[in-house]
Amino acid sequence: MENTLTKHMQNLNLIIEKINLNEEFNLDLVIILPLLNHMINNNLISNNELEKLLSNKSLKIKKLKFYKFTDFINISDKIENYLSELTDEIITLLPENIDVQSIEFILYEILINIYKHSKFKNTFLQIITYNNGQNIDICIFDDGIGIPGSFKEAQLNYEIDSEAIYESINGKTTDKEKYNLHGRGLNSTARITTQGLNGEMLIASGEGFCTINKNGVKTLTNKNKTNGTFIILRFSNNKIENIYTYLKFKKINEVLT
Amino acid sequence: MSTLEIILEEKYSKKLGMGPTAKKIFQEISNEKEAILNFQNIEFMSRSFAQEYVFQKFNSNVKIIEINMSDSIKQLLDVVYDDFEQTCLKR
Repeated sequence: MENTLTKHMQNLNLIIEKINLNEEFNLDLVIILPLLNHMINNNLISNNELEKLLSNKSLKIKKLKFYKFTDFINISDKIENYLSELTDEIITLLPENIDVQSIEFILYEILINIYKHSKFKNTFLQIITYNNGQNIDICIFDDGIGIPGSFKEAQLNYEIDSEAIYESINGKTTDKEKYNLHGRGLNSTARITTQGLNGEMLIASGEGFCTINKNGVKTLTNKNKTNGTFIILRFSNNKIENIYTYLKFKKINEVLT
Repeated sequence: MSTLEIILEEKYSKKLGMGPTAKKIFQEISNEKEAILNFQNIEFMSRSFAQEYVFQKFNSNVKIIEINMSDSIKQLLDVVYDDFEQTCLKR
């Protein structure tokens, strides 16, 4: 089964190349966030325009609160309370019959990774719903050091960036505690999304990206670098009967392109 | 001497998400012989929190009494404990 998310990365590349030429393009909602970041970095959008975009309720874009990353342990109480409020708010943007527990598991793991590892200045989250709430995209973009960058800082070097992303999906961690279980967050997020909710996932960071569906992971190279990490979760609005099946760590194998 | 009781929702949050929060709970009770962790009104526990909780509990000398824990949190902790056993204890 072909992963439908790959085409959005191709669209993003095309638009980023065209946008400097001020050409018009058809708006691909899923790639608004990396595009927005590109526009912020290249002064293509004013603060007023950005505020206007963020306050547009139909777009459902949230800018995440920035915390200084110098002392993660000491600010963790603040982040804990913020994530509780934020996830409550995100749930209100989703269809009423959403499987709240599954979504909270997904959101928490991604958001904790961002606050713990990314060192972002800007992070945006967007909810897109289709077919009267039957299909949902959750898109998250942070402009931090990225997954390959985070590994590099921990002296874990990979030749290609998509390999670093693949390893992060399968439990590789930058944390140094020997007898702990870090590195499980992306794995459970990917398994809940693709196996539990029968969806797809895309993770782009640096010069690599991976698409995941129930068949496995595809590792790909992106010709335009993603400065940070861009994640798309695409799934149907279903209830998972036993979410704990997907919270057990299980390697997700690579499928050949 | 009475047993220290921590009402987690009041002290921390109705959703327990961050690993460092689990670490702080166990730091707070580290000088006790036993402690009661009251999970009343805890709506959600993340896998990250659960991982750190299981790790801290395993390494703690304090007798932990868990009360008002919902079935969903119990199930999550069981999954994470199994993972912990397979990954960390059998090495």
